[in-house]
Amino acid sequence: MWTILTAEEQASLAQRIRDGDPAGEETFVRLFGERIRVMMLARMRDAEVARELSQEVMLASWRAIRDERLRNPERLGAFVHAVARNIMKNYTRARAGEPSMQSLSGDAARVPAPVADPDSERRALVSAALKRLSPDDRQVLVLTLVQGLPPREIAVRLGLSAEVVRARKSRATKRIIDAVAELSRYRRAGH
Amino acid sequence: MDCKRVGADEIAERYLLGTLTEQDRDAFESHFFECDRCFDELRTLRSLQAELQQTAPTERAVPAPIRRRVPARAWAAATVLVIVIGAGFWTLGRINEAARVQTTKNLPTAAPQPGISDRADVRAARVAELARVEPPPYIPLTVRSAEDWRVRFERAMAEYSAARYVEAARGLEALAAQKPSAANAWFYLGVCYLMLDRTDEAIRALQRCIDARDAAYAEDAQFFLAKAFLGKGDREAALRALEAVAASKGPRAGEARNLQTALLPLSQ
Repeated sequence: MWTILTAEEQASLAQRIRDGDPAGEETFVRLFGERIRVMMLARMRDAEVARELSQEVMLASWRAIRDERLRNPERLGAFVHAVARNIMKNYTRARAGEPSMQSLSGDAARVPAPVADPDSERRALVSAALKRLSPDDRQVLVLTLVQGLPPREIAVRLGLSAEVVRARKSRATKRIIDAVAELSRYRRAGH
Repeated sequence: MDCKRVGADEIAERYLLGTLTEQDRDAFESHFFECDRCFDELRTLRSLQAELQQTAPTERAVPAPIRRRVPARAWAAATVLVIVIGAGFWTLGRINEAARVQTTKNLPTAAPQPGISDRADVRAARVAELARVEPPPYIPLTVRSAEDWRVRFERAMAEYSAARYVEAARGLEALAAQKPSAANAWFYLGVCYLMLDRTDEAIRALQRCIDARDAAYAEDAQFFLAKAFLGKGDREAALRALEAVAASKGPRAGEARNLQTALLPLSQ
């Protein structure tokens, strides 16, 4: 695992927050703010709700650390995740009493609701990498990530075997990820 | 859960699609809260999903048949599209040329050479595109500290978050002057200047941030410093700053390497 911080570093960061070190607080926000936001977006599928809950999590975590309620400072990441999960569950539970939205059926139910993506630099790189894919590979990605179809259904639609669909999807995804994030490994390997 | 399983079972993709079991979903979240690589890949997949959602109507319009003949009308449409895009680039080049001429009034002018000039314009347009800056988000903390400096910092950052960069810069200038070791004030001040096209001041502020030697800001400051140099058209200085970011192996390293890759051919 490519850890964001070692156990010692997590404990040290928690200590800095307890001591009221502003730089420690900023580091905390930088390390966990985006993680919480991505988690909330994936779970809630509502940018506004995700934003509000993310702030709540940051504040609750920060207060808990300052009040010395963090039992294992070397597991700071796990702690923040637990806080996020609790806050989200409380929110969902509170919402359960409210009238539910009309349920979707068929294909529409499988498509995750579009959520704004503020990660615009990454998005630009993804867009450029997408243009380099073949139309067939792109189509497999759309059917997977937008329509939420499993490989066997995509295979039926495209007249391919499920194995070929899986291979195409895996290859296309890898190309995108490599294009966005990977040059580093290549260089580190001494090429 | 470990990185191997995340890759083998396409966990990140299934997480975004909401098809993981509750147990796997929790385990994956717990994993990416501590793992940089898997979180980075998740963010890329999320951007990919968002990008595809935006372009999906076009993609979905393509029906399922295995081999399709491209109708003549589609070729015609594609040809028109190519011409339109080409014209767009040409126009961009001309606009950029006009801007360049305006900003280099004191430089000796050469007789127009269409071929060379066009290539230079395309490069300059590409550099300008790479110099584009997205202000990093700031998540405010409700700090109970009575420290005046901190309270004023949060106030300035509220202006920053509302994209009122003039007001934010004014507040941050005073804060940085009061506490020159405050890397956070210098950093966001530098970003404000970038957003206001005050590139020289941005470079100075970001340099002060780097000089403050605060690990929380060093990498981002170098990254935005590179953007500032790009804004000035100083590709060599931008490449040096990007090299420092890439060497840091931090969260911006991948972006920095991609920028380096995009920039190198433009510097030759």
